[in-house]
Amino acid sequence: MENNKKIIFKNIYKKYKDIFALKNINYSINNNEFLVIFGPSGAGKTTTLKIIAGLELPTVGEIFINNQPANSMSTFERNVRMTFENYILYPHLTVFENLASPLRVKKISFEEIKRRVIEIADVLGISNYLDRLPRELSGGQKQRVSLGRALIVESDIYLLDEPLAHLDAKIRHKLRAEFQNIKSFLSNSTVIYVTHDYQEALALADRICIIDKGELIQIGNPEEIYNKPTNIFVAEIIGQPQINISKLNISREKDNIYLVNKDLRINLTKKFMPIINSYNKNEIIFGCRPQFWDFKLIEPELSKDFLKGKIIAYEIRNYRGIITVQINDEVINVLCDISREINEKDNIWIQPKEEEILLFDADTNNNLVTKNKEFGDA
Amino acid sequence: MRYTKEENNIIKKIKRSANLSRGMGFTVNILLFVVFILFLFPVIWILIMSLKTQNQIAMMPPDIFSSFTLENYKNLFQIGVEQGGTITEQTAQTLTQIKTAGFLNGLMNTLIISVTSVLIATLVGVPAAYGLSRYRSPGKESTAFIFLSFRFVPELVILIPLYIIYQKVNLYGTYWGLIWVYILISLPMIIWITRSYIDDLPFDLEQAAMLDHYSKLRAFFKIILPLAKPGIAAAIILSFIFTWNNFIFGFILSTNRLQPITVAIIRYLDITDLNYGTMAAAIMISIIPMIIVSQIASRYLVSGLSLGAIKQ
Amino acid sequence: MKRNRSKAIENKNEEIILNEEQLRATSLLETKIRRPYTLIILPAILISIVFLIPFLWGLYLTFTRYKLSDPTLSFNWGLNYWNMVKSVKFWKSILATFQYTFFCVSIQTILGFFIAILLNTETIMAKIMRKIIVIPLMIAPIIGTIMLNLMMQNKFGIFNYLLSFIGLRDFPWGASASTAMLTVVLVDVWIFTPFMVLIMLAGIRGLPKDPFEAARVDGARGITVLIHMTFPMVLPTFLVAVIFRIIDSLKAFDIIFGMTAGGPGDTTSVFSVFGYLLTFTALDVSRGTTLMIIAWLIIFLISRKLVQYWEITRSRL
Repeated sequence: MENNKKIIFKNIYKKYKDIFALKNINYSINNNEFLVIFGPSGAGKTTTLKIIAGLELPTVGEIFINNQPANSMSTFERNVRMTFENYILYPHLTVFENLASPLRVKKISFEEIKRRVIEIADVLGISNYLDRLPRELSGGQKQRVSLGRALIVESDIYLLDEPLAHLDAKIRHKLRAEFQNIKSFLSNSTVIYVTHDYQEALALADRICIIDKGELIQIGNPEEIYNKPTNIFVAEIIGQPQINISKLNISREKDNIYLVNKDLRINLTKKFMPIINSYNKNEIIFGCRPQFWDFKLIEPELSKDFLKGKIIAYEIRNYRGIITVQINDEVINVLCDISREINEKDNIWIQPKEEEILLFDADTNNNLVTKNKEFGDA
Repeated sequence: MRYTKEENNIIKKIKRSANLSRGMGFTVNILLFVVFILFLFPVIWILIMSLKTQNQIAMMPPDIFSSFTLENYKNLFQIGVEQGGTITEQTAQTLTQIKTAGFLNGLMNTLIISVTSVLIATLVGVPAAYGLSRYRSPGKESTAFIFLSFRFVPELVILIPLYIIYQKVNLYGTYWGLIWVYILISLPMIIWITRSYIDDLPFDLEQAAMLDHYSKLRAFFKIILPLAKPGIAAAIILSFIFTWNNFIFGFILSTNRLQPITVAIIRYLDITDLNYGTMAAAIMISIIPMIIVSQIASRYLVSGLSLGAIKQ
Repeated sequence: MKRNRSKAIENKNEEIILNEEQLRATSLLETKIRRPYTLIILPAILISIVFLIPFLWGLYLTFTRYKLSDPTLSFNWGLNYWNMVKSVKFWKSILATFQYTFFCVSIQTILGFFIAILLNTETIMAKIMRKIIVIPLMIAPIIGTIMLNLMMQNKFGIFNYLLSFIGLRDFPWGASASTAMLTVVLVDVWIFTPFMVLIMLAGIRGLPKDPFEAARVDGARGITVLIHMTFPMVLPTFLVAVIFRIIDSLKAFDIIFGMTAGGPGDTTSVFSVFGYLLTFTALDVSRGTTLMIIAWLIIFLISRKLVQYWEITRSRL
């Protein structure tokens, strides 16, 4: 449905001096969607936001907002609200004035401005700081003022650039929880949220758009991104501990397919036959996330289906245990519930859950399991 | 994080304190006292001379410690004519009055010219500095450097042709003729210093303003100007001092009626009837304004003098 | 193929080819953004262009023969330049200018540095002097010259009186060829050393504390710290001050004109003073402008070199 598309990117390229910040960007953002743009630093996330806001023009390509060509629309006409990664509060104005600033231009009475500022300050918990100057605020407070300034005006599109980036872990955790509330407050608007923290992405997004080095890698809902990554890059940046990746060779014995290298030997069931058959190379890349491994601390009966290794580390993080298993030169992380029985230097037998195995092309790094790579509209 | 004024002072003290031992401190004081004498003696001397009568000055060594008088200053500002007396006395008085009128006139002129030229240079230069700072183009640095290079040009390169041109276009000996040239030296300084300060302001500020639906004009006045104030102040003060103390422009391009104080003083000297005391008083009056400026605006001086290279 | 009519934009590792139409559309929008900036720079540019007119006219005059006493203009080709280079006075002027610049700047730099170091302490005199040292700089150079001149008079001048105590009677100051340069340099040093002091002091104060603390822990003391740490770190700032003084000295006029007007036997006839005398005393405009253009060229080349050098020092830090 064309009417559902709030923002459409068509063939967008953006060049800064000699480098392309964005290349061949083609996708669309749905109405009232909470889209998270996720990627490493320098990927082009902020640039994307600035193009939506009208603060930057694409070198090539067109952007459509509400189905209107928007390239020549000024920021003024676009009616977007944006927060910046480094807050960009007006240093010479108080918090009150910073919050009031977008309202002043609209010729609203001072009574009304005051009312709205106090209201939003309450929601964000900064009512006590209204006459402070930005340089007297802590990071968390500045972030909230920045957010307040963006939210104080109603708009269809909110652009949030790494709002939680420069805060320490405790505050970030707290604000992320508060963000769920803010999210419901924003449920009638389209929100584009930029982050390089995958947990925020998975927690908040309706859809996640992954970009790297200016190019769109994958776009889809969190479940798809997590379980059906288009390539190794996506698989690796989402999820912690990182997905276990190994380069293996395909070996066929009678009716069975095995993936082997000098240390590992993994049995693939017939389910994978079609993929293996259409894959012409010998080398393949195998992946399986730490949480999708079975393990036994005592030698199992069908031990030949298991990989035997040694526990070289056991760490507890976020109320889960991470077992680091060493099999000669291969190192595999396995996630488990906390247990007292796990000790370093013990033997361990591990086996990947078959339905969660991911296979990637050894040259292109693309996911062989997902049938097509989809860009744009899911 | 910026500190409050008190904290700043404490920090400064800690930073500077070289933990000088007694002996060292004493040596420093002595040395600085010598510096004080060397650099301030002429000013103090002229000040003293300006408060003495001609007789006291004529003595060698001059009689410093006996009575002081303000009559030199009174002479300077005396306008009225005294009737009577011999012809010579009357001529002498008329001459004095012409000198006096010329001197006060010079002060007035300097004031008018300096204020007007710096004002215009500011009104033109600050927006230009803003545009130069934000303009994205390859030619930008060269344009900026061309503005700067005006500072490096020996004035006579322009003044000699201007002397001839002005006479042809009737600008010679006019206020606007002079103001124009003074603008030419103020403008590059104001542009260069202000631009340096505006460069330091992140462009994101204006983008935030754009998002808040500020017009470019409003963003300039409400956001950029307040934040660039120290730079603009430094630029204005520096230009003002420069134009006030300038000699050569007025010397070549102005007539007796219009000469600034620097030229008036030289002409004052030419007249043979020299009353040293009055001369000293005249000198004092002409240097006091800028000394006062330097004390009030001391914190802007370094920034201005270095053309914005050093910011405080 | 189509490649000829389209423009290739290079990325770091690959070439992305965009066609004409794509490029044209966005360049129009970019011009629209640039327009307001162009508008406000315009007045400044206009004023500067007007500044060019006398410059070009002056340049033209250097190729003519034009005297104020006889305002007929005859074209001269490069004769003026040739004559200038042949004239002894010209070379004396060069000598005087460079002497003046060298003495002034070197003395001011050394003196300024030491005074700045002294002012960087917290003694009583330091606190007072920090406010007061700037005063000579605030005096108009021509007026300062008159002041010192008054004090150098034979009859009423206090300087000669004081000098008589150490056996120097009737010191000729600006009147004698051997002492004239010394005299004008003295005035310049008096007025402009505070300039150096101010900038150097600001530079010293702006240095980070940590390296100095580390040096103290390592046992380095006074002079060593001064030479090996303070000085190199403060160099870019110093250079700013030095460059300004060099250029200002090369084009100096007020002080020399007020004191010696070219000095006995052209010993102090620096560029600007020489140019003035040629134009307004000898009434020879073409020679005057010729000299000034040559002076301008010399100063321009020197200033460019200096600025380049400064950029190198700055980037090295």
